Amino acid sequence: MVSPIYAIAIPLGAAFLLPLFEKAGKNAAKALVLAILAALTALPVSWLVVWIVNTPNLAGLLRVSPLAVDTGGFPAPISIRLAAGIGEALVMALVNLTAFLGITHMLVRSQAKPTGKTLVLLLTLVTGVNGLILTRDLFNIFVFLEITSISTYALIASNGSKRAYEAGFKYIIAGSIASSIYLVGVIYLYRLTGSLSLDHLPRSGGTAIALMLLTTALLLELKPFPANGWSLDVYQAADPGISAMVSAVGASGVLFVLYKLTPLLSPTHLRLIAGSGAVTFVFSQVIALRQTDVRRMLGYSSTAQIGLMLLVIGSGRGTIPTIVLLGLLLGNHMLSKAGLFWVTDLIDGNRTIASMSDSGSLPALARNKPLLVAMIGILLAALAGLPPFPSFWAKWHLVSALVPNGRWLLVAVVLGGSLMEAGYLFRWFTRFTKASEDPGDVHQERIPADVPVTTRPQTGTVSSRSGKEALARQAASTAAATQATTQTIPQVVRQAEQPVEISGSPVPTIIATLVLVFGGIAAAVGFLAPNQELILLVPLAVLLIGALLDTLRIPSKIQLLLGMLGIGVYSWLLLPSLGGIPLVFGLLFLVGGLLQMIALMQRKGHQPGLAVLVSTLLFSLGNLLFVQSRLGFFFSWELMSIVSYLLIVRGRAASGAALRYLMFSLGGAYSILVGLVLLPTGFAPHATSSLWAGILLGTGFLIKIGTVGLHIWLPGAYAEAEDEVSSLLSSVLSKAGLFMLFTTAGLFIQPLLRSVPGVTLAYLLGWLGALTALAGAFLAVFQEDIKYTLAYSSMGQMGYMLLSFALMTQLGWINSMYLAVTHLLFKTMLFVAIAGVVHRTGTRLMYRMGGLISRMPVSFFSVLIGIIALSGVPPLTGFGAKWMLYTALIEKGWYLQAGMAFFASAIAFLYLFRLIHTIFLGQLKDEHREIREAPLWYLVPQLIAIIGIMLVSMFPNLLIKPLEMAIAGYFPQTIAWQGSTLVSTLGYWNGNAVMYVTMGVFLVPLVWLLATRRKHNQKVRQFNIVYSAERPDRPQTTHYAYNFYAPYRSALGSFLTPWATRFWKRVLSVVRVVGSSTRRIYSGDGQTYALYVLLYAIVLMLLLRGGN
Amino acid sequence: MKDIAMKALYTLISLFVILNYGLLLTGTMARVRAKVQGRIGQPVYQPYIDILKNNFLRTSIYHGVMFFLGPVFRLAGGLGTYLFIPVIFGSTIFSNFAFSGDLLLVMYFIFFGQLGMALGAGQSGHPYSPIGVSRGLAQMTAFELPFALAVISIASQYGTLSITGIVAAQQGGILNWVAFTNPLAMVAGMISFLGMSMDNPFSIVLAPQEIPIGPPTEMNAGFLGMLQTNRAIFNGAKLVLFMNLFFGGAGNLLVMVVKTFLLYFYVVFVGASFPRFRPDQSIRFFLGIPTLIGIAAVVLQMV
Repeated sequence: MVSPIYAIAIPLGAAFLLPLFEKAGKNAAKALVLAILAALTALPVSWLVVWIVNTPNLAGLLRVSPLAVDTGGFPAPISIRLAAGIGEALVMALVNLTAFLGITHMLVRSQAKPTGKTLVLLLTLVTGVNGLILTRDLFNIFVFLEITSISTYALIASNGSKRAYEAGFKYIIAGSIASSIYLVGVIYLYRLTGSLSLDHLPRSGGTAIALMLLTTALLLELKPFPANGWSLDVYQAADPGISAMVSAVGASGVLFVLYKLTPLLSPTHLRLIAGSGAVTFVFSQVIALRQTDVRRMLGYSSTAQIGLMLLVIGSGRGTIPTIVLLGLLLGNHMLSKAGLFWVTDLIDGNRTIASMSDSGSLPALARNKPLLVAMIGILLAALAGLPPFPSFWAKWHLVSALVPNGRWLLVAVVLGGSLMEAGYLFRWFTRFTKASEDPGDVHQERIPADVPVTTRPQTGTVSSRSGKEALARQAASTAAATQATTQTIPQVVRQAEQPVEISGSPVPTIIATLVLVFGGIAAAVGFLAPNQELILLVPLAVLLIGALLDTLRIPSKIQLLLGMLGIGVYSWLLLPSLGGIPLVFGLLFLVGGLLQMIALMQRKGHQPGLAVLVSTLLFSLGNLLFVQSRLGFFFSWELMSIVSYLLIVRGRAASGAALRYLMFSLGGAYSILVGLVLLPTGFAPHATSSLWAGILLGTGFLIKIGTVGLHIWLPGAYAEAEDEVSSLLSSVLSKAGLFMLFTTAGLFIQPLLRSVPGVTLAYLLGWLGALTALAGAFLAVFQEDIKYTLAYSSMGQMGYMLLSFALMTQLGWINSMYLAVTHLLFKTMLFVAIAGVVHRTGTRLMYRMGGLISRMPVSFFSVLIGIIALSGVPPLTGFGAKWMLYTALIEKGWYLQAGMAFFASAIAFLYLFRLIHTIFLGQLKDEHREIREAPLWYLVPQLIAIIGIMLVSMFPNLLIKPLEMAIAGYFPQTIAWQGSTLVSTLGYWNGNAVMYVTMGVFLVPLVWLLATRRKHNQKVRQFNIVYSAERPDRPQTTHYAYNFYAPYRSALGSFLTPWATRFWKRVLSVVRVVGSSTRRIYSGDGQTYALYVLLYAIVLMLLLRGGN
Repeated sequence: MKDIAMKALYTLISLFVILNYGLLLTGTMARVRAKVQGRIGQPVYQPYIDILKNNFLRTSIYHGVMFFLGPVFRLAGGLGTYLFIPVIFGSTIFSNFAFSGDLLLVMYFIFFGQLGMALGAGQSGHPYSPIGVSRGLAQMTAFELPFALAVISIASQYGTLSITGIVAAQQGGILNWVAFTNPLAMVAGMISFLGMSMDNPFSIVLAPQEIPIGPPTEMNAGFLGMLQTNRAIFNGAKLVLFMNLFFGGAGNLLVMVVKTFLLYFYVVFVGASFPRFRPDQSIRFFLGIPTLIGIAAVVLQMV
């Protein structure tokens, strides 16, 4: 194998010789630099390949004896030893690869190409870092530290701007302090032990002070909070190419040195390192939340990542070796951070649009450069620790190591910080990739400007005079409004089509992205293979194939057909192997998903990402059905969350809503993560376990369900997603949380307190379910936007499912699944029908519609069946659900919950009537006189769902009996069948007979009217009514639709206060305030920064006293 | 086959009885109201005349399919509600189709007609219809809450949701009636009944005096006739339901007539004595004291 010495000798030598090569020609010098870096990358890779080929498993790989070189031919304490083990090889490969890509990026970009001097400095930097990684001598480390630092100062200043000089100068001051402390430590250590070789230093005794000085110095080099103000200016002021190198390459060497020191350090030292890392991680994330400058934000993120790695180094032994964890995090951080810096360089060559607050100037990247957007998304996802990227696996193993040791504070720091990081990263993503048409946040209720303030619902009553004015104004503006709606869209497109200049070649960034993707997949294979769960990677394969098809610009229809085919085959293979509850939900997810995909077939042309994301989402839902290991489950769950986020963010004004969705989903996922780690016996269905596991897992699932209090994400996500996607989210995806509750039901049945056996977690879930049903219904009543109405309605329906589930009785569980299945059917009808209406009318505001029954009769019929099925009016399916719900509740003795559920179901009538009346009945608007029925692709799934609903209504036992079988054995039998009558301990219900009686009583009057009054019946035209002693001539004056339930609003008064929304807004504002006040410690003054550095060192030393 | 023919015959008898009784009751109560207000009032048989007249008018104006179906829905709702209730305890003829479902079915079938009617009226395009509907639905949600609580309380008291079962449990003397064994449930239920009957003080839904509001606004001729027919049947059904739930049911037709007459009289009595609430006032009313009474009735069953 090639000796490690070349990793230092070659770049150093080349750095000196480079000016000579420049004489031969600029390109020769550049080629030399690239060749050297390529060789340096190949070198450690070659070692790795040899080792991997020669050793069978990971454990053996970690024990492989390092390649060692003693300089000058003397043995180690006298000479300097360079050693390359598996860790060194890994980090070196990553460092040199990043450096190679970074320099390539700078060479191929269109402006500010690096000069020969810059190349020399870059090579020196690489030399320094390689040296830091390889050397085993403490003084030699100091030398390489200095080489690294000096080349960094020079590189920062090479930008030539005043700010860059200033930043470089601050860097010098802080770096010098750290170096001095290091040097003093080295002197001490040599005085005490007579050796500086890491391999020969004694492992214990008497060296505490010296090691403390070394640790302090290294920590300072790693820019810990709050002594890191000096480093942050660099990211903002320096050339992004240089920033990438400083952030990704520079720190890695120092970090590795600290890792190499750990065998010498005492537990106190380690705890201090972990603490320092934790503080840096969490505060950097908080401050990053408040950044408007992208590069500064990335800078904070870098600091935070370093903090996380310090935490890993300091927190000691875990389930997998620290070096693997570190390797995953480091590789992930280097490639993604460097990649992101390069991206800012690419799309913002003139350094003008890096500010996030200036959204007006942001280019509509999503429309113009879908590939670039995909790349940014991948880099951000990797940085935020989403699956399958390396940091995701690292996060899992880090938390699994911390939780059993009871290090709750660190767990909270890691997860809280990660959540914030995802928050600001994806906020940037949505802001940066979406056009300026997206307001960035969503209003709860969209009240247009033409409604005067006095008639707005807050005041309760409608002032008649201003109301009339409003109507008049509205009528006058109708024509203008219709014109406007048709005109705004082209305007938006025009704005969006301002050209986006890509300055330079994206190839290095693409390579970095691909390395990350393949690294992630390799990690996924590595971590999932031991549990024989490689099949969980199917969704990823689907994602990759779909991405490929997207790149080839295959039309969405074909992609969707392929997706449907794939899901069909998958279901065919998977479903027969399932049984019981998983089979019910399997049908729900996969067959329900297929139903949703039909509506998407309406899309014309090529819709980037649509088909692939929908297919991936359904496949990842499929994963949940059979996953066995905890890690496999968490992987699938997170994958599902991120894919659904990407689907939601496609909505035209969905950025705010999607971000909320992501934040809540990730919060829930982290709660699930800790809960899973707490499970003692692995993730098996119906495992009984600790209370906390139940609470944490339950919280995660409840977030997905959208339980009241945790529902903030729900209305926006459902409403602002594309119309057909909303249907998918509401009818299919929302059941994922419910399914997991069923799977882990054993966690919820133990009493919270021994003395009160009735109060279990399930009991609390029951109350939450009832409250959710009520809150969802109330919130739906007062919406003007139809999609918000449906969104809140879904929330309420999920509340019933939760309530039924929580009963933990046979009838309760049957009802919960019965509701899940019928909800799929009727919500598909409602959402897709409304999608058709919105598609045709171009508005979501209900009062802008009216009288559409004559234009869209099929959609009307579908909505009619949908609302009857939802409301619970016999003879359709809804009544079965109500009957089972109340019977089960009263059997269980949950009387008050039953009362609440009944109230909620009565409230549901309000919004359902409003929905169908204001859209389809009342007065047809002039601008809608010519519109047609919804497109065929929308009608097909509705008709299928109608057939389903009618079948189940007619023969309820078709659905109830299989559900009964699915949960057979879990609970004592409380229901019985007498023919088609379902008998409970309290009452009975014969769905069949009800249907016949209803048909009978309906037909008799109908036949009567048709037969006896046929000659007299006379249909009249729209305006053939008398209102205000006059025949109306404008639909607007007589369509009663806006603020429909004004009296209810005023009757309820403060009861309608949105407490949950208010609470989460408070939380957000507190985090923001903490962020902006913490940020104030960065005064920008070099002296202050130097003082911080010194104080930090002093505080660390005080804390470390006696840490031997 | 014979069974089905007999059932059809019984059903017809049962419907005939309730229709006539309902119409006569409506006529009688109209006269009672007139007496209170110092008028002579209409003849008792006036409802018959109204229905006949409406059914023979020259034109029935309608605005579309849903409008056409609205009264059909309404009457089907009334008929269905009635047919799912056992009227006379122990009688085969008047047991109707109670075997199809229990009390929950009746409670939800009440909505069938209301929803259909509301939709039909909505298609007229007249703003008074949806205004009336919005008030009516809003008020309905409020009075259903105490009623539901009363029902839950009774169901837990007797351990059944079957109406026949509830009536059976009340047999054996006046003191076995829910009115005495569970007075709180009765009070909550009977206050709800006022709202359900849409008489004063809860009559804003129809606003009968000043401007006719609500679904009948645009209905005429055969459509209106159907609504009036329904009102008689539906009223009868509701009275029978409340009689069964709170006042021991009826063993024969005479007892039924007496009990339901008194129940209706109670509604008229209250209506004649009190002025009308605004919608928001009536909502707040029902969600206040009656709901608390209902909760108390339920809680008493839990302890």
